Amino acid sequence: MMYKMKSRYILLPLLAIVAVYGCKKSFLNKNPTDQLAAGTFWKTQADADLALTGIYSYLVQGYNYTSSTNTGQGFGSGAIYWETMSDNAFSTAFSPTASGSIEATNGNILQDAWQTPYRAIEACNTFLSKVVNIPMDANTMKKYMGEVRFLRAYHYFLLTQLYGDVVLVTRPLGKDSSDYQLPRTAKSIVTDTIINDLNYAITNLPDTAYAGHAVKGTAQGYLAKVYLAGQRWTEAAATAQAIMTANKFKLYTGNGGYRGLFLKSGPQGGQLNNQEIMFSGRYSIPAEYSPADYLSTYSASFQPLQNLVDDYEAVDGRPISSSPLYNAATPYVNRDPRLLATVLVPGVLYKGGVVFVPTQAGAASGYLNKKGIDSTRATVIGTQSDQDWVYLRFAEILLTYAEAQNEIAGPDISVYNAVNAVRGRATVSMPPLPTGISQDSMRTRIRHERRIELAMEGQRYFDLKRWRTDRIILPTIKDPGTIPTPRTFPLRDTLWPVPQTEIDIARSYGNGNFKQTPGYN
Amino acid sequence: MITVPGHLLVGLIFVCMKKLLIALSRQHHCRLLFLFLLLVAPIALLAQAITVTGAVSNERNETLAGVTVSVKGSAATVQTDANGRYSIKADPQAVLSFSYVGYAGLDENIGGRQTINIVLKDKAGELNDVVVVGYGTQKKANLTGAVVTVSGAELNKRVATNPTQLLQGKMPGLSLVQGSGEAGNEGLVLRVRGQGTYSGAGIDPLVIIDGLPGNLANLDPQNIESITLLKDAASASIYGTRAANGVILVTTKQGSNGKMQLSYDYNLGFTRPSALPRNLIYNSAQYMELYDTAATHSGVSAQFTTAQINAYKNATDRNLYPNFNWLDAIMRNVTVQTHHLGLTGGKNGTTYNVGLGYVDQPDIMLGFSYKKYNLQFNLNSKVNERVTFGSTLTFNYSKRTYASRGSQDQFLSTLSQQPMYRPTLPDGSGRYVNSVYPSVIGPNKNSVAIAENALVNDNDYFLQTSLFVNVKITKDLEWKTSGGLNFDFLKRYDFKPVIQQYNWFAGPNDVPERSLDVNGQGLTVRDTNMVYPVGYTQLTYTKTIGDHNFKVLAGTQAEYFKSQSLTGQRNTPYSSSTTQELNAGPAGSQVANGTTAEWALQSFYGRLNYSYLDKYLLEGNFRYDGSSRFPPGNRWGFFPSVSAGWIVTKEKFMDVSWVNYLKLRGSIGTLGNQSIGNYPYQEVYNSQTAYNNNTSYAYSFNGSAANPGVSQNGLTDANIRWETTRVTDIGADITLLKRLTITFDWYNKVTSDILGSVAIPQYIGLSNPTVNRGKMKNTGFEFSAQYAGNIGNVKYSVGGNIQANKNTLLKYGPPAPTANGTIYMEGQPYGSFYLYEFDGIFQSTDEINKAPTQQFSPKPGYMKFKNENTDNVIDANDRVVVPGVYPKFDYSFNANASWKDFDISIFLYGSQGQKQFVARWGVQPFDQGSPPTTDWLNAWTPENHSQTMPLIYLRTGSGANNAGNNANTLSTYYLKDASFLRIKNIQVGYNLPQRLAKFVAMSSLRVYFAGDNLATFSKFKGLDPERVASNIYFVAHPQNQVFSFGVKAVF
Repeated sequence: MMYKMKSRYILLPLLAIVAVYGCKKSFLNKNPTDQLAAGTFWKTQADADLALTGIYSYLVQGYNYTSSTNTGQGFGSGAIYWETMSDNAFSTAFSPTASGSIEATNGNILQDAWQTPYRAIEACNTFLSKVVNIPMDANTMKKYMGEVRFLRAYHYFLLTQLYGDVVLVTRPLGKDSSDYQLPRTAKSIVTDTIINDLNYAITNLPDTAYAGHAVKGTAQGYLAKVYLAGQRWTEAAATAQAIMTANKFKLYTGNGGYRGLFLKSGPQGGQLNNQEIMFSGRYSIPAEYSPADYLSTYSASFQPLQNLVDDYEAVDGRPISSSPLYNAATPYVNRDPRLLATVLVPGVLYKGGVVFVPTQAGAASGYLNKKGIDSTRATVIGTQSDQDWVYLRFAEILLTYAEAQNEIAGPDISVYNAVNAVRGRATVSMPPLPTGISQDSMRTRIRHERRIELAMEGQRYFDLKRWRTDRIILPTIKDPGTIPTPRTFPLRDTLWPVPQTEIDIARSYGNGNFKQTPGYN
Repeated sequence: MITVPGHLLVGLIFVCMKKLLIALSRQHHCRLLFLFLLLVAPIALLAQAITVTGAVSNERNETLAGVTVSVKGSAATVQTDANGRYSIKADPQAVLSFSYVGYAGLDENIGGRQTINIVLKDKAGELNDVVVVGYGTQKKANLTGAVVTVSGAELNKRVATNPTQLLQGKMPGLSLVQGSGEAGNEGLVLRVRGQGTYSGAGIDPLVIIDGLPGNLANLDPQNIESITLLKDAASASIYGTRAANGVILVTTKQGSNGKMQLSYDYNLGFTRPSALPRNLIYNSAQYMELYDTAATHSGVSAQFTTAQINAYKNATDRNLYPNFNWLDAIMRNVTVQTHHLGLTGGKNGTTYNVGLGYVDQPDIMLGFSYKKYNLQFNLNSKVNERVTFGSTLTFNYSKRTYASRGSQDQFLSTLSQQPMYRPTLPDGSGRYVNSVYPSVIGPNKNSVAIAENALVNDNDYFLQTSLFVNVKITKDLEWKTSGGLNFDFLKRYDFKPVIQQYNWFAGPNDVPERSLDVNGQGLTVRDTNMVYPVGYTQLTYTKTIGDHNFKVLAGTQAEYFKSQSLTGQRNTPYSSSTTQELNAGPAGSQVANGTTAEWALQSFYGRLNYSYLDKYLLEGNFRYDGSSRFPPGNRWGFFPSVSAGWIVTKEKFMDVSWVNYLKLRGSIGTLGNQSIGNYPYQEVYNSQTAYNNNTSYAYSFNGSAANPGVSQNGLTDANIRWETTRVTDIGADITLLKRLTITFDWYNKVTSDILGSVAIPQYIGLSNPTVNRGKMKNTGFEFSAQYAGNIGNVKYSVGGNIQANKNTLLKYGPPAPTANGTIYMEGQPYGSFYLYEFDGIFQSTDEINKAPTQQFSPKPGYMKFKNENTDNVIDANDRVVVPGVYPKFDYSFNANASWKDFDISIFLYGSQGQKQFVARWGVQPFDQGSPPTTDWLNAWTPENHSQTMPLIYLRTGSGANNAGNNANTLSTYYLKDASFLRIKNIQVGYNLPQRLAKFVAMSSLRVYFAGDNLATFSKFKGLDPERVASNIYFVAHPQNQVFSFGVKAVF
């Protein structure tokens, strides 16, 4: 039997049903609102711009390891870290890797240095495979592809220097099962790919000064570096020569001089429109900031070693061991001006006016880094630093030329000119090298000049590797402390192990082709 | 008439209590509460009591002696005499409650009568009780699925801020681990019948409150009427896509017809840590000497000179040269207060229940605290014979204060401090200390400075509300529609001031050594809100044709979830700590972030119950779910189940006097899981990196303003589909001798197509994709028994339950070891320990030479590890799977007894067979400077050939082969037996005799003393064995040991 229903009692439930199913059609179609769906991406040049920016961002993303301090967005792809691996600096924070105890299971930098370049390379490969379908100006597209191929080469160059043979990936991977069976490709083949990419970039990038995007000179500069690392002297010298001849870059002598190269703003800032800088990782506060201040002055994470400080000449161009101008009681007087522009020595003001006292700053070596640090800023934890990290500058090209040319022809006049130009620039003004020295002696001079000129810029570790002096010099280094701790450097350490997890994963896919670096089981 | 003096007396008592409590807690709300009590107290005095008499007998007309007769909602209680007669004073409109062992309880409205005779039915009649099941209720006798229920009264024997905590040990099939005792952040891990899957967040059971998805943590425990756990597919499949991990159904207290009743509960808990590492070396000179020894073993120079050590050793000024125990600076005993005010009643078909709750819980760790304000309002109204409607509303406001890096970080920072100094300088200037000597590597952050200056405040406003209309279309057909909403708004202030830290011996003008690490600087304000509307409508048709009973349910449901967040930061230090708002800071460094996430679910569900002669039971359930989280082609999933039951005792051949009830039941069915992220199948380009949420894909080409950038983070599988869980369950419910009830269940639960992240080589350059790949099995049993009896006037009950579960990973892909010493490997429990096997301490160079080649060129005193393969070289291939990642079984016991006005209840909870990997601070000496335990006094030395303690070392030494590297090897050395049995709770209560209660104008008054976590029996040393298994650090916020006093007054 049916009750007589009054309509008002069923109104409410009916309303509820209408409310629930009122928008039925799209009810289950939910798309992310803060991400771009791949299906609608890669349609316009604006999309290519977004993706290109994403690839450049790896230059400042750095590695997880530093970011775990939550203080910033990276440090120029780990450049500071490389210094602590060399005889220039040391770090308690980065041990045991820096002290020579490199194991596949170390994690941290060993994990990140493998992973992050491959993320950037993946972004490059996807870009190159997708951008070709975007309707846009053909020359603009070539320029974009030139930038991306340059960046891919940049990351592969870093990988080969660290690991030797690496997996060579030049297309987007992941969808095919064969993608999981790749071996490590011989370093020479990877290097060929790097050179190909760089040559493509040289052909297609604009021949202008550097202003944030890679230009022809940037790619040439890296090509010279790649040749130099491979001891291909003739090609290295010719490539460097080409940059010098093109005259798009010159040594900087403007505001702040040598020190101004590494500061963006402030009384000594000279980074903007700087004709010496050929490539850099660019920061902008507040969103994209560098933790360089934090690492250098707050946490004292890396500290220049006495060994480096002692290597700066006296102003007469002689080493401190023989210069009459050097006085051990006033060790920082009458020294190569680059010393005080690079190393924070006791008694100097920093952190916006605090006197640097090593013990109070936790600087066991007695020094802190000054390059790229704006000493007029009050530093507290998480200080936002917007100094660009300089990856490549014209001074290095001159030294590259000198080194290669000296190997080819000995110390000819062009070698002297190149080195003396670097030493003698205004604001540095070190005397020219003595004339008539031997090829060997010139080699030593150039290597010394590279160490001094490029100190704290992340070059030294890789220079030691390619000179094969890492195995000789590094075991002689003692890290400071009441009892200095000697570093160990077994020969195998010249190449890093790939992370143990990567080996485990390869095994899990039955990828027997993927091998650990020799010496690491 | 006692009205006037009673009122005065109450007033007097309140004034006294108020003073006492205000003294305890100088809080405004406390006073307001009491003011409110004072105002409403007279209401209770308006009614006049009458005396009710009567006799109680059973169905066989035998009179029953010793039956408890009480006035509901009061403590007034009498017992029937030898002739089964009773006499009790009560309000004419009150309800009398009759209970007797072996018989079903009975409530009777007095309705002004003065003589009430009662017939109690046999206990088996209790099976006529209704149990809340999915989208309805069912007679307990007719259940065929695996369902367990616990009453709110049972839960509230313990006192807790979060009702979830109270479920521990109460429901066989549900395992609950409380990760910590941190106020408002207990790290509760709930698992129903083991971990069913590993797909991200999708392992928590679904919680349904009053019919709609909700959040248990936001309820006041006192407002809970009952909680039901649906364990098997038969009972849970009606919740389809989210039922795979079990379903918890919560019913809040509804009002009942009768006069308004006011109750007030108060609890005062004296709280302290359940365990602390009290064996740390806090003697400064001893610490320094050991440190220097350890340093030399670890390739590091000695840090303390003899002069420095002697300064402490021979000091007379212990203010300047203390032996300071840092645990005393950060751990404290606190007083926790809980208030609950209840108001219930009803008239003319409209009933209401109102609960007001307040909890003030300072944490045992300095700086942390939690406050919770709760309002529950339930209203039901019968419009006429056909239409009923009602609503429930929970409003919860909570305020949690904590250190931004959490309690574990505070704890380990505390342990990293050295005994040679206190938190602040000896000169009394209040400046915070950084380190003892400038030459010493600084410890972790000064935890006291954090607790006093840099805390995060979470203000959470949570609303959970529902409305239903029930229409009886015909006498057999019912139409129910319910809709509701969860709304949450969380406002977080994370203020990061600049606090300077000084050297312990700093002079008045010395510069600070460093500023305190407060996780950044400036201010971060974050708004998060969530809106989650749900609605369903359903028809229920009930029909009896002869001996056949049918019940059919069909319904449809839709839900939609949206959460948004907005974060604003100003990252420059603020000039003042008093202005903690964004606008008060420099704008030059501001950053903003915002996100939105949505999902939607649309469902159809149904159930058929059939029974023949109330003896043979059959039930079928299904749910058909569509989820926005899956690609359109795989969007809909069908989840059916069937179950059957046979009440054997209804058969003629089972007429055995001592077997009162025996039901056998079995079920099989399929459940789903959709908790796999919101857009897992879509290939997307992100502006934030996936692997580090501090980095974005933006880049500044010109060096002054950032350009937006995007990149693809992860590999995606565009064809993912539902994961399904198939559960088979066989069980029995038995009642013996009217006094012993037993429930047994065996189950086999297999989850396949598990959506999980699959490790891919990093050279692919993308994060791991989510794919349907895994398969996992959980098998186990649950057993519970309860016996009730009486010895003379003493009524008692004892019982217990035990649950065992075995987890096996059936299909995962290749074994995947993690960096934390665990592995995902087929055939093993998920996340098993995967470690080097500790094999003693090297005693001599000779022994080292004979042993398999070890890592780190060991010296005597180093740890030795076992070679597990044939190569005689210790390397990563020598790691082995070690059992113990999950407990073998959990168990609990309860015992209750009452005698006259006294009662006592005891609850024990235990877990057996679990191991915990614990390392670093508190275990490894001098980790970040942390003091070693006294065990290290027995460390290996050339003279002391310890086989258990290696030579003392620094965790971070220098040089490749230092002792620290050797000891840091993830080995079984750090695996500890974490089995435990604990006296979870004891409560002793006294109900004031009714006439005394009346005298103070209350209808009842109960006082009790209770203890929580009174004692723990375990081999696990130093801290609480109950902890989250994935935590590889030894330090974890301890559990709370609580000694509490409470009153429960009804007016």
